[in-house]
Amino acid sequence: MVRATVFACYLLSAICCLAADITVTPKSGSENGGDLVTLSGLTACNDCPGPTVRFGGVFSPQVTNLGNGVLQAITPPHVPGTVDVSVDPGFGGTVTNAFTYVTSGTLISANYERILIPLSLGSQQFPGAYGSLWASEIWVYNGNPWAGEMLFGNPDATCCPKTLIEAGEMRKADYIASSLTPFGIVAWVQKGSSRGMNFSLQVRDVSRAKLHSGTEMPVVHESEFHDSIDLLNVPIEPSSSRTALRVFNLDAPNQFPIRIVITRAAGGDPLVDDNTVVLRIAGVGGTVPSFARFVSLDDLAGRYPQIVGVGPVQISVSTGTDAKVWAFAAVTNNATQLITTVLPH
Amino acid sequence: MMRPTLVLLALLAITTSAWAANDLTVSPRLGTVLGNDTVTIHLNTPLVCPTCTLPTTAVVGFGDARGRNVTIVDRNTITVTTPSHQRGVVDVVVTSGSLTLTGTGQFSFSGWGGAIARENYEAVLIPISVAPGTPIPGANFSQWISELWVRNSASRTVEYFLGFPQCNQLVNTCTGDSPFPSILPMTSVASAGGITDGTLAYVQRGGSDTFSLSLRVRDVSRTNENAGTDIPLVREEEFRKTPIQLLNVPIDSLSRTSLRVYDTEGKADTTANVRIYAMTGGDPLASTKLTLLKRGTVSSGFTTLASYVFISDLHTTFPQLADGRYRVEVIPANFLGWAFASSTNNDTQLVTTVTPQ
Repeated sequence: MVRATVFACYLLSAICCLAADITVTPKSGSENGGDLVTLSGLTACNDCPGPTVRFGGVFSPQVTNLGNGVLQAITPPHVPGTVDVSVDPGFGGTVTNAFTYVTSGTLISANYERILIPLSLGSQQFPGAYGSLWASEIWVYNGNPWAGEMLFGNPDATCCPKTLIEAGEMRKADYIASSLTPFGIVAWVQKGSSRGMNFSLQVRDVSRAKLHSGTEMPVVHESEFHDSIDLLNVPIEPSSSRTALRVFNLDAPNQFPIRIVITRAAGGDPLVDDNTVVLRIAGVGGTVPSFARFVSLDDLAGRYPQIVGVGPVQISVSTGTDAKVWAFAAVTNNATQLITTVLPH
Repeated sequence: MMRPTLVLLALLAITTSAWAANDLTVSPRLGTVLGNDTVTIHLNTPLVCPTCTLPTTAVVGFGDARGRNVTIVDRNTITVTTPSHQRGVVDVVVTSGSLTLTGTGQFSFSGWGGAIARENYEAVLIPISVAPGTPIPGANFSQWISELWVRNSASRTVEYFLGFPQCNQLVNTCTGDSPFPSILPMTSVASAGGITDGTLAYVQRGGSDTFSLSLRVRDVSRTNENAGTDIPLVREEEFRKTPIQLLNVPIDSLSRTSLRVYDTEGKADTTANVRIYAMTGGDPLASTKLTLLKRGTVSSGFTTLASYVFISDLHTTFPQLADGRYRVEVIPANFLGWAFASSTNNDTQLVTTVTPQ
């Protein structure tokens, strides 16, 4: 049965080599490889075993058959220049001069996914209230069997981290930070590598290390931004803690207003309906865009006294436009400085 | 010689066959009577010529109701949101300009007690038990509760339920005429207790983008010190068969660090390999093979409970590990899984989670 299928595929290949109208998207990527390329218009051969794709004669480290004549391939490393893309029997033939390798570190924005680091203190420690001493740690581990790029604009021009993260490499990435702001730092990860690129971000009060291991902060992928975000069951207890709301946007060209609606946790009429809050760029500089648009309301109870005494609340943040946002609330205990995050899920 | 009745039946069958139009196919071919499911229509006849501009819109009829959010993907493919419709089999008719394409009996509407299509729902893993009422005693006089909230921010009702939506004969007619369990528009609901760790909830995909969940666990004996810990609710797209990496996990004598591993398919007992590495890399410092136990049932593709294993303390399980931070790798044995670690301070009972990011 398999042999028959393979034979059929070869037969189809012979036909499709004459007729195929193959498109390759994107048409350029890094010399380091690791980019995700879609080939469409191939001969549909859903049951053909083991498709392979070569870029300039070098095999792709991973090919996925999406069916209906569409393959997705990870680019292998190759010296800069334009190469042929070849698809093996059953799917099509060779498309000449179909893909161009460019120098490492070149930002082709369509090839990268932006990753928001909501808070990064870099390698510094910062004193806070009640004798607290705050630090954060970012780790990155490339779990892919191929090397992948992570670009960071390094706006402070203080270090020169390698953009390439080797397969299986673990890296402490505290260099993803800026003296301009601890909030809303952006890194860029190749789409072909982002699924297997693992992160960890923790913030902790090192003066209380024996009491607590810290708080995990999310590392937010571009796909997690939406035109509205709901935060449920947010504690508002000004007698014991302060609750902050932090909102981010990755790609609006200018500053823009958002709408914040706060109700009791179970809903009902709005206690707050505020459209005066504006997201602004957190910083400027860097070899690639390094900052999100951002706003922090550091004390919700102080800004909106009408929400005090109603118990936990629900916070909705929306844009009313195509712009997408991501938001979270952070509840910091006044006495212990312990942080509880409330995240969108 | 055939009897006249048989001849008539044969003629009717042939006639019916001749009338059945198969200009298109629909996937999936089943949706809820509530509507709001997204289906893809493949047209056997293209809407336009290969070099022509795609039309901006088309009309898609499901029986006597019209679909919403029609998107023309390419000249052979349309996506559309189903309308609400009474239970039954309907024709699907696509109209674009002068072109009308029909799929006879291509779509079925069904409700609670009837057939249900798994692909119309997104699974969401609830990693820990939901117990918002009576606190559960823990170490050092801690008193634990956990609260699960869900919210439907859409302007339409969205179906949401735990596991397979079993029909309750006492409160439901089970004829397939009513929608499956759902959350009304613009509504927030606090879940009752009794939800076991590793329960799978299902949200109708047509409304999942505007459907939010929140789960927080806290020690109510220490509310003056801490507001609790956010626990992720894990969407289906985050389940994976590839190794799950937990970075910078604290394993030390000051705290107990637990590891929870879930097989979200929940079909059988299965295994996962766990390897623990220094943060600086190198060979594994410790490893073990875990068995995840099947605990629930699977009906029509809906799993009630993930298969599950729990290590209560990595520090005592692997005494060879010095106090420090580690990378914990969980390798599923060919199942769609998820895992996370949580570190609870022995004195303060404060919890730090480490989840795959």
